[in-house]
Amino acid sequence: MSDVKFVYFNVRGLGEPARLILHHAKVDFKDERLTHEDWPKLKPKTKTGKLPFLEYDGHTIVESNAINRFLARKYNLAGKDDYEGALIDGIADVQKDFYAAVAPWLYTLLGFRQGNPADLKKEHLDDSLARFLPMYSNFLKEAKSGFMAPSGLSWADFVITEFLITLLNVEPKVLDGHDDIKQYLERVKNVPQLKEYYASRPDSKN
Amino acid sequence: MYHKKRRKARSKNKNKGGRAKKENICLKKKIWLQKVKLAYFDGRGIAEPARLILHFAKVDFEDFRFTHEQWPEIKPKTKTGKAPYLEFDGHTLVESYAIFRFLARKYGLAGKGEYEEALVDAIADIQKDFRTSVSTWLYVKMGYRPGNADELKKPHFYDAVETYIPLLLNYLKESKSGFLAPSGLTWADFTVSEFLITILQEESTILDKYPEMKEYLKRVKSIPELKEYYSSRKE
Repeated sequence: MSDVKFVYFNVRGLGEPARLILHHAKVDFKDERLTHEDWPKLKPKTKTGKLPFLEYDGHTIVESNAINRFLARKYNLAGKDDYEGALIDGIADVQKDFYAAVAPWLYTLLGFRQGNPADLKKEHLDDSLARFLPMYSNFLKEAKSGFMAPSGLSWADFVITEFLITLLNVEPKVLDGHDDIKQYLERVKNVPQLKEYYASRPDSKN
Repeated sequence: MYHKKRRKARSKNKNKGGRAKKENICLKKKIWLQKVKLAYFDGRGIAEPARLILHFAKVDFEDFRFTHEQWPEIKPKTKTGKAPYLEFDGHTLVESYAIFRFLARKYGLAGKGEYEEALVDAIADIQKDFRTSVSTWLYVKMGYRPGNADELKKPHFYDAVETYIPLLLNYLKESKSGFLAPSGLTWADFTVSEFLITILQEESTILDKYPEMKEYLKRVKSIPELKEYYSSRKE
């Protein structure tokens, strides 16, 4: 179905979960990756001046989690019923908070913002890891499926693991002492439908 | 003979009483299972949209409001140490927007069809970003976080208003329904309007540049199903 087009920068960032959902479902889509030079021209033509956006059957959808949820519902990665759907939504929102808490340090480290990452590390990385990783361990324990939701793989697993990959890229020891989460990350990266994509996809630090 | 008769009579009564008792238990279980309880602090905060959805749909629910003194006792018993949480038919849900979306889908306030649902989700996420930006200033001003509120006010309050209100106005204009989504009222209207009330409380003139936004807020607060709740609740 070539009337599916996903537009984002050429990084994993907040767009990769959508790509993973589409690859997992073997959807034929256009994976448009913009350079930072292309973007200023396109930006005023977009709905909200932000990326990613998804074109699907003539409709345009914005906001990464709205896109992720829309695709996940279409392709069976949104839980088996409304309760599980809400659980997954909640876990993805927890992940959003984790991301927001770490971002001030991460953005200065990656050069997106001015500042000294060393000054921000304790409050934004260390404290956030202490707050959020135990929550993820709990979700995993309760789910008993090896993934965040009881019925198995869902889009929440993609938003979480992509961020963990980013953290490991910049700080390789972040998951030390959290073997359950290390194993969880490996498990997601070994999902059969995605092995090929994970092995061949363009990599990026963030 | 008498004893046999009595035994038969007793067993007859037992069956009658037993069946009624079973039905009674099933009914009690059903009522318990249908129980809806929203737990949050005693204020609008980030949970008010859930109360609005439930009041709009005339759902009989327990509006459990706890004090800041009670919270340390309740916190460890929650899933993620945060509020609000929702108990619904024996399930516990956490995270405010997940709760809003769940309730909205149950009570017809999530948008019509998958594309409109995605639109409503997107507007709510934009609203969340708006709130996050303003909170950077507001939490400092209220003393919840250290920092210089005066320095943060322009980038996180005034500039945020200039960035996000026009985006929300665009959605209003495009929808043509008077609400944010084309089909009419949705849960995104509750998240947006509650936040508009909050920023107006901080600065009553903040929306003077945006009269359509003020009209929109009036429109949401005049929804017939909610007039009574809006007039009786404390803001």
